[in-house]
Amino acid sequence: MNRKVSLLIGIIAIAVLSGVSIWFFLSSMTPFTSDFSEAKSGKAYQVYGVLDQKSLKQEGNLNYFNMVDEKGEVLPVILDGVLPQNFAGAQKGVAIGSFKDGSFHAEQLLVKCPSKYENKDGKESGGSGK
Amino acid sequence: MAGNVLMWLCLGFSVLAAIFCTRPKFQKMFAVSSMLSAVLASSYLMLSILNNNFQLSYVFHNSSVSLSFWYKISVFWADKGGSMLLWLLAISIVAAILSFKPQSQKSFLVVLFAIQAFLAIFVIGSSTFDVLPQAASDGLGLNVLLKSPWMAFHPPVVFLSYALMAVPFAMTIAYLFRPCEQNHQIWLSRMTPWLIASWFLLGLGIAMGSIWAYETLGWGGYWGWDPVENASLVPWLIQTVAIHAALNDENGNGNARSVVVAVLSSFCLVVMAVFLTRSGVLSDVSVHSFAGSSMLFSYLIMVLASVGLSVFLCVRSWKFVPHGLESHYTSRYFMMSIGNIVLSVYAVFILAATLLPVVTQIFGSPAVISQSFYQAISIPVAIVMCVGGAITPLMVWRKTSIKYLARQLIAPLFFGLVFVVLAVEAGMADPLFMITGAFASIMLVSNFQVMLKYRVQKWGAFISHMGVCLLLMGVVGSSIFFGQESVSLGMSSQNKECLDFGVGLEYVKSDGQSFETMYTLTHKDSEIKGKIGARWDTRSQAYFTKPFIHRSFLRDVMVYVSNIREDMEFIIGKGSSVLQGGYTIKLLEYNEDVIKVLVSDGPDLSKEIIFNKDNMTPGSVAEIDGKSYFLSIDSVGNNTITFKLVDLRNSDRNTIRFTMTVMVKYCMLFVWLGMIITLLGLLWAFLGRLRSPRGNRMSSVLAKDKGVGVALP
Repeated sequence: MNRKVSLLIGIIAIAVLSGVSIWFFLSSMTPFTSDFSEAKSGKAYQVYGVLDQKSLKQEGNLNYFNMVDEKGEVLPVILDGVLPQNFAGAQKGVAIGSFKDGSFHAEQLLVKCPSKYENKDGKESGGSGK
Repeated sequence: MAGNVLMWLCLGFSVLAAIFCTRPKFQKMFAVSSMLSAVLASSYLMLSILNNNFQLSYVFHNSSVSLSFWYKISVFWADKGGSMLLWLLAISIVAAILSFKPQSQKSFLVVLFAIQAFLAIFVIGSSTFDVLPQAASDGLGLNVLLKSPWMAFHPPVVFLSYALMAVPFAMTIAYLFRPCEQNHQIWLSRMTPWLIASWFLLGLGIAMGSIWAYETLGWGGYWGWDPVENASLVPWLIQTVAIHAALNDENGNGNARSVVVAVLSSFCLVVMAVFLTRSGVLSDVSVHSFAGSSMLFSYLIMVLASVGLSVFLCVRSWKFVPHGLESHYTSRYFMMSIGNIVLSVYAVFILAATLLPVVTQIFGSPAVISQSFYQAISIPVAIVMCVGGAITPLMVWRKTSIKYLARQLIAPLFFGLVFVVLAVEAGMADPLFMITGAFASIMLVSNFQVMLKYRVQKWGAFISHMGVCLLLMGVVGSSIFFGQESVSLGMSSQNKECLDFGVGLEYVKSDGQSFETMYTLTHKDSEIKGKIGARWDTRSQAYFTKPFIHRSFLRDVMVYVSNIREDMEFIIGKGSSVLQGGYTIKLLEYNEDVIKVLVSDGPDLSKEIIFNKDNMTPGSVAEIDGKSYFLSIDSVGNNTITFKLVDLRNSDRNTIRFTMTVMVKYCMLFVWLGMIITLLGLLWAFLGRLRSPRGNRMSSVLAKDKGVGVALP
């Protein structure tokens, strides 16, 4: 097979794959913030803040709790799914979802340990198992 | 102190070994000295751990007297500095041994010693051997999540893989210094076993991590596309590309360029993975990564050095490194190259998505890629790879007859159809599952067919391909067929339903230190019984539970308990304290006039509660922090008082309450089987090479070297 043709096929393959991937890439970009007023805008966000364990209420599959930011603002969060193993002992977490009807509906919650060594306490996702 | 001295010595000797590359005798001396210092330092750390020497900060923070032997061993790599030391130890031994082999080229050894020096700097910078002013009597203990055989031994497997990857990298650098044809063949034949070994170990490490996640964490998953996970997956994918490119090259295609780029990239990606995990740049978006580190620049420098050296040498020697021959599109060479391109693009995008938060952080507001991206691109990649993976093994290296291919594919296509039928029969007729499963079946049967035509020694590749097919079926099946529901239970719960199961509790026991429940799940005629226990973990101030997994051929039923709350009575004598429901409760004073209780919650809460003469009676309730629990007097004795912690938000005052989550996940068996078989295939390939090394094709290749390409029929 001609060298030029193989090169062309290779380039087309890369271009097609990259195009598809870029499309998915751009549509899954979620901004990340620790500012609750941004998080309340209704768009999809990843919100980072301090977890208030004492505010936890559980009903069926839903977990209701509050996150607090540096200014002391409170963000009510509703998490659908399993609450992460570390929730009780964790200080901070990242809620991924969007704000609707007065609460932040999180599809996923990432939780971190307060110790300096945050490695290997595992990924904690309270969401579907995908 | 001693440890730090040894590390500085190791660093010094590595640098000297690199400098004295032209004086082999000195180089060997320095190599052995640096290896010995690493061995001594590691022994010192290990012995300190085993002897409970809590004066060493590392031992204090990660170990405890009561830890069992094997977990104490795992403390060695439980934290940053120790895992770096492990990596350093492995490389120093490899470098020292290889410095004695006459075939080791100068540039090869220099690179190895340079890497060693970097690692020694990391160990020193991570304060591994820092000493505390006073030796405590006990340590903080191992993070309870690490107390699992899978997670305890995951780091050494991964770090050994990283250490072994340094060898192909250094060999490739050496080849680029002198890119003649003779070196080309020597380099290929020597490097490939190391590459396969590293590839196998990294795959094993990744598999161990996912097994741990599934069995311990309770969220029902085994891969979260977390940046740190991706950071180890991307080098593994590029190692796969490197191996397939090397196979192409060995079998006559001569595409040294792609092999060079793939091997160099794999190592650079390994260093980048370490940088991403340990520098703290991803600490906000990843649950895995360490908090910000002063070592950030050191790791970054190593990344830049590896990438810089690789790029510089590639550019310089590009003309002299052969590229692949022109090949027919029905040749294995061509198909493997396409496969490599697809995998490389896939890896690049995973890397880009992983790095997005780092890059966007520098330029403004950080953004993260959500999980759906990774799942979306994985499916088309998987299908394309299955098509290629089904056809390519059937092919001949140079040119295959299409009629032959079509004939060979009849049986696999048939089995693809069989899969679809079986899926419908099993009630799993999801279109995505059926399509990917069908393609995976086609590839699986095709590889099996081809395998039977080869000698047993060469079965490794086909076995791993079949393993990947099973893995793919499992991954897609388990992602699609997944259900989950949570229900709140207590001692007196009856007739509760969760996710189509009737839930019954045999018993629930709790005493503030441990919790246990035995349950039965009923679904139509079948019954599942299990037991879950939890222990109070002082280090994280919470109950630590693990899910109970009921496995069967097609599906796993996972039961997970969380949010355990107790309304139990407990007795405290005057002056003593009790741990209950997360609080430490101490009876400070008790006489006919007053009861004084101190309730504390670790760092946040410390409240003195006073019951005076009027309300020293059973049933009196006092607020603790106004949020969840109240302290209530149950009964009063001569020297003791029986209290209760009451959760006033739940109407049943006298029950232990917890949340039970039931998850059903299909095809998990295929995931685990797939991983095991894939790794078995890799190991098989490695052992096959040890038995009959592919070397010395030099004579035949040098003869062909005269012509341009190969005449095609």
